[in-house]
Amino acid sequence: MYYIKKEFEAALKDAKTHEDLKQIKASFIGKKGRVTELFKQMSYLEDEQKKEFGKNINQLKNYIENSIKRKLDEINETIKRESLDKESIDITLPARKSAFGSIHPITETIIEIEDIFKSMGFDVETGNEIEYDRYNFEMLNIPKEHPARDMQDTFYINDNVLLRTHTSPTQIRVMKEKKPPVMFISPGKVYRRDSDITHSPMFHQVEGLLVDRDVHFSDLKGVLSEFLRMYFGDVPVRFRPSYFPFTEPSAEVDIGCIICKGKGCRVCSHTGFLEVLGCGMVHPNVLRNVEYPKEYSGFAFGLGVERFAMLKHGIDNIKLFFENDIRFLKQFS
Amino acid sequence: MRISYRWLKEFIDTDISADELAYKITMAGLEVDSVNKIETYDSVVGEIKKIDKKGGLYLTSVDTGGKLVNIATSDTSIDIGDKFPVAVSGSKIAGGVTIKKREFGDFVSEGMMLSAAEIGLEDTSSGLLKLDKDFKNGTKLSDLDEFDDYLIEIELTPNRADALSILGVARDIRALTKLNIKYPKMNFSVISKNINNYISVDVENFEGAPRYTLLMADVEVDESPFFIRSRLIKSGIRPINNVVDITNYVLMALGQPMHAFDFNRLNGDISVRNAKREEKILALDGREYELDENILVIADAKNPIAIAGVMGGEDSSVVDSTKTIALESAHFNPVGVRLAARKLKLHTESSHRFERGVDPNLCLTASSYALCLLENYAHAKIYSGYIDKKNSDFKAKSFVCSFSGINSLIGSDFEQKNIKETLEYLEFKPKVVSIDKFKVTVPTYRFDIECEADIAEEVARCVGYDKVPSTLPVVQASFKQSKPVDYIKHSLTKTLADTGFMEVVNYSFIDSGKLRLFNDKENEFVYLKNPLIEGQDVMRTTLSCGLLDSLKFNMNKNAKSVALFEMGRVFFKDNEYSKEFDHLGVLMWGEASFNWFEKDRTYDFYDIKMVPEIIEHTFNIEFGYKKSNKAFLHSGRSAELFIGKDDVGFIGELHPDLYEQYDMKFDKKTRILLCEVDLDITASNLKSTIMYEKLPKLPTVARDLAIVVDKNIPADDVKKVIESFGNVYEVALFDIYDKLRDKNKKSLAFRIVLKNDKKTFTDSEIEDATNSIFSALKVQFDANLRGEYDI
Repeated sequence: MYYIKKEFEAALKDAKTHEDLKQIKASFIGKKGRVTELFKQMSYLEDEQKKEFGKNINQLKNYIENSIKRKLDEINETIKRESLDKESIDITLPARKSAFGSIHPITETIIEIEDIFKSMGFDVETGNEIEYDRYNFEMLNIPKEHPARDMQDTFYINDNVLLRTHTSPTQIRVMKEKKPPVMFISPGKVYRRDSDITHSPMFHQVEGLLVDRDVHFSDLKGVLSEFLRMYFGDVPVRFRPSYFPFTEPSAEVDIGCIICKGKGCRVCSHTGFLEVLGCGMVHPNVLRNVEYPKEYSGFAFGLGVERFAMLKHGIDNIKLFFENDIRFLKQFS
Repeated sequence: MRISYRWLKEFIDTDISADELAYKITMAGLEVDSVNKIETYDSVVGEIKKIDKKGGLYLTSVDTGGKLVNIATSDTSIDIGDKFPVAVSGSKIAGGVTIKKREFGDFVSEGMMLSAAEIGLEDTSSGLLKLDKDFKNGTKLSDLDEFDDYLIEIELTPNRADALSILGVARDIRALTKLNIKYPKMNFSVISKNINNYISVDVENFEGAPRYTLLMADVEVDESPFFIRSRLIKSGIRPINNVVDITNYVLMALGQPMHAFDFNRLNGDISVRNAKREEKILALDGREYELDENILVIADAKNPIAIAGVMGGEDSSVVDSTKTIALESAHFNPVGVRLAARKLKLHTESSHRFERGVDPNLCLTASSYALCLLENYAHAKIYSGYIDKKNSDFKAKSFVCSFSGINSLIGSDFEQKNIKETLEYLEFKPKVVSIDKFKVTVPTYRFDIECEADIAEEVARCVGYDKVPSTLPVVQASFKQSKPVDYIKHSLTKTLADTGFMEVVNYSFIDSGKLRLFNDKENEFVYLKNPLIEGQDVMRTTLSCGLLDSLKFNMNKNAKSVALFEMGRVFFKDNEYSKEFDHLGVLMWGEASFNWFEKDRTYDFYDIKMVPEIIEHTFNIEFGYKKSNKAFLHSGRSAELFIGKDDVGFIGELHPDLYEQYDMKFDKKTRILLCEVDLDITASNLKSTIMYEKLPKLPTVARDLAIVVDKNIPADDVKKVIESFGNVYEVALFDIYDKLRDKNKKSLAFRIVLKNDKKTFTDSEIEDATNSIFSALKVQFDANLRGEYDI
């Protein structure tokens, strides 16, 4: 009986198919199987022994039946797996979708800037790209013969209408519409008659304005420092006196060069600082021009979107933004 | 403006290094662009001892301090005894270039005589830099004062006219450091000749020339001493002769533009008047300018002799033969000078300053300084008396400010004492008039100071913006909501990018010739008066032109598949102004199947139609499609889009005729597809809320119905008829077959989902329902069942 068991186990181990199992089953517990033969031999034994022998044979039979059943499950499982393996595919192929597109880096930059200011409670306003000379210059304290007009070479439509040279006329449009307090940013295209490696005749700015009672230059410092840290990460921020006809006091804001971390490099002209935006307290003449009551004060700022995008993504030529080379655009998908 | 650090130090008593000084003034509002040390390497003083002319070359022998060096040069200005900077072979010059020996026949040139640019004093030079004869041969340049210097380049904002001079910069440094200003010597002696016996001045237009002063002197014209010439070069001014150089020297030192006339070349007395129409003047730059009645000139009895505040005339200029000069120091109206300079396209150091404002009280101070220098460096004999024509006393303006107002604007708590002292160091005169108020008198050179905010800036910039605290404003909470069009733009940008389109940004100005292909209503065009280039002369009324340019650019870079979108403004003329609308433009072209799962398909109409469908589904809007008759679109493969009655855009293939206009070949297989949608109209049709529709209570059943109709019947018309049945829950077109025997027919297969809210469908009810749908189609479209149709 011991040998039968051993032989069975050896045979079972080698079994691979349903056919193998069938044969094993037949040769051990089939009608003429070896265990079945054992039952037949039982009639020659004493009753005492018969009982003991019968029990053992039954145990062996059960063992064989169970083992075969287990093996059958195993073989079934293997067959199933093998058939699935045959259906293997290349899991590295990309998904069945045409392609991924991309958002233009200028749009992406504007969205990011908007999100920061919106979280601080600023509204978003849009102005007009074709603008009155009056709004673009005169009401912003830049009369016709002001030298500051030299800073901005202007595209004219006619004597009174032009392509806005900055987003600042939106200040005038909004303040003429709405009573104070106002608190908004305004992104958009602006135009200057200038074209070289660093200048494009069309580019983008984001304007910001906050007018309320008791707004101080210190608030301007606070809000813009916060914004710059949220956009560029933890960089030093410094405010430097400057001049814009529609703000007083005026400032230019520098951040520690994000390329060389302030050590001095080509991008920051070895100064360790990068100029990133202009700002100031709204000039009293501007507030007077829009007939805001005297007790209101405010701050305004303007930044160049291309500059922000160039600094953040390490883009070295402003032309790339407007050539629309898909090899460039693809990098922002 | 570029100034010498050494010169600046003559005006302010300081040991602060050039770099530190540059940082200090930058942080106070005079932005320094660069600080460059003058680097002369091993160059020495050399004296020309011998000159041989050979061909176009001068072969010289130069004494470099006991050692004679052979040098070849092509400079024609050299003479025996002249001294120049010399770089002997092996030593370096500006830019770090090493000088090498060069052979010219059997003459070996062992070095080089240098120009100002070659020792870094300026960017480009026209000739060699002549040194003073009393410099000792062989002296290293670096041991000479004028070469031990830094050039400080300051980018001044237009409000700071007062800082357009060495003195002006020194004044700011005083306010920052509380150091003293050192004024130069300005005294001179006079001779018995009196100016009033020789010339008189008549100012006809005091508005244009509020002040005009004139002095006279006999002079000996010669070359200026080296310190004057080198300092002018450092500031970018070309030396001419001692008299002209001294007027320019004073301009740089004090900020007063001056002009010297050759008295003997004047025809009679001087008048300051407006030019006559078509009057001409040959100016110092050698060019003739035609003047007009709006341009102020200085004239003698016959002709204009100078364009007031801009440039002098050639015919009365100081030349080698000049013996007597009339020295003008005036104050001209900024606007007048600006208009004249702009009209004549002539921008000079003088006009630059007058446009921004020159202190009217500086005229005679500057004259004194110039005369003192002329006496020393041009052997000037100065006439007694002077002419000073003016229409005002040029009193300083003053106004009242409050200490608390300044602190409130800044958000600071500067002490009254500090504010007062800072202003005093800036030469303002603050006089306290009450507990919180003071009356401030503004120096007459500060044209930019007009109100309390200006005073606040002066205080803050001198104390330092970094001393102002950083605070966050307290603002009213208020609800901010995106405008519908902004919402649409944001949302579509994201969806289209996710769907495979790349966003582009094109210029808003385009070529009017190209625009005419897309828009025949030229009266809608907004033209630029002064375009930068010819091909950007009109504002776009469509985004399609720009998208085609982008396509063309990428085709030239061998792109094979292009799917672009742009969101931006288009512009339509509205009387003298314009109306702006936000548009979405989309372009598709090329391989649709550059992937592993699909083969050999190019973009077609039904690819780009995804765009209006995305809009419909995202914003719950329904577009109407009508066949388009736009000339730039393929008449059989395009549609105009409507929302209700509003025309909101188009979709379709570019007309085959237009390819040529963009230097592209029409390829039947690879078509250009365009779509444009007005987002403003779309935004005004946003449906705010979707109302829920009850779901069918009982299971729905689906039946497929294939019919054969005329080829030209739009599938959507058929679908709409099916949908009109009350028990139809959903309809979908799932097959189109047009290879039927009858070429004029096509087969359409629909899956129709039926619902019944009362009881479960029986087979016969389903059959009845489909039959009645088919009957309707038969009546309306002469439809046959596919199965019964003879295929």
